[in-house]
Amino acid sequence: MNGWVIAGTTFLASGLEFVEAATIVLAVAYTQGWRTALAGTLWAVGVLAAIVAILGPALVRFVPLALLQLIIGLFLVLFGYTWLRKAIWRFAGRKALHDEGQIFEREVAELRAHEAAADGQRIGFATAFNGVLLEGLEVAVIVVTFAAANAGAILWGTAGALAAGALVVLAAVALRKPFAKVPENLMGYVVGIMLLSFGTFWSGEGLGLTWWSGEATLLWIVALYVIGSLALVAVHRTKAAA
Amino acid sequence: MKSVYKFVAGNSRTTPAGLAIAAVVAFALRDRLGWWSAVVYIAVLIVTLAVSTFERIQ
Repeated sequence: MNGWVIAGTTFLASGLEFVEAATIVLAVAYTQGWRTALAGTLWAVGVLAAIVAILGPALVRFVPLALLQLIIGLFLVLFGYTWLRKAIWRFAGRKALHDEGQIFEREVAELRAHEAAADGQRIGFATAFNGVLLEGLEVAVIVVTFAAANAGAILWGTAGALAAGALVVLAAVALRKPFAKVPENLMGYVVGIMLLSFGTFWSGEGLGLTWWSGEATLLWIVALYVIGSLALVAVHRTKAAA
Repeated sequence: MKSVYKFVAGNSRTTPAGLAIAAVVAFALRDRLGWWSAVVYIAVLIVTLAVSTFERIQ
């Protein structure tokens, strides 16, 4: 399995989640200061790193490969369905696009309500911590599942996630405002296709299925999901226009 | 439990069911159909995706 594809998938997935987390962290920094925002962020990143470091190697060591491929494949298919469905709905205009500016304003308003209270700093810390932890948890699970399915993949998966995290943090510190121009839906679509494709391939391996082109069948699977999902976008657009 | 379900399946009813059907059918047919069972598996997964997009938007 190509490590760059794994790194690219975790890069996009974590980039997207971190963009959403950055909006929350920026709102905390705006109302409670950077120190509180970064403290909450660093604690959450530490917890996520611990999850990956402990769960990844433990799964590989204690669970048989075929069973592991089946279970993680099924999980990746379910995650992929969720990402891809949302992207299809958004491309078809059935679901509103993510508006980071609006989310930022809402978070700031909520934090302002606690600003005068004595526990304002604590709430700011908790908001940043929860935001980064919850947005990053799915990425951590994806990295762990990639790691479990493929020896060496943990390094590629972690590298992709860390690169995206570093990029988002640097951009957030430099810009100091929410990311309004990131193509979130396109990124979500690509992540959905990749998770669904890897999940299909690995769960099929776990089920003992024979692929018609060996490992190259993964490319066929990607192509089939792209064609199917684009057809679904067209169907939903037509339905909405009728 | 509800939040775990939302985290794993995005509150979809059809995707876990479709995935289970695809896995059981493909596994049952793998010795009889050879690599065609993989085609059946992918086909059922794509149909599941299609059906799930007609669910109520979460």
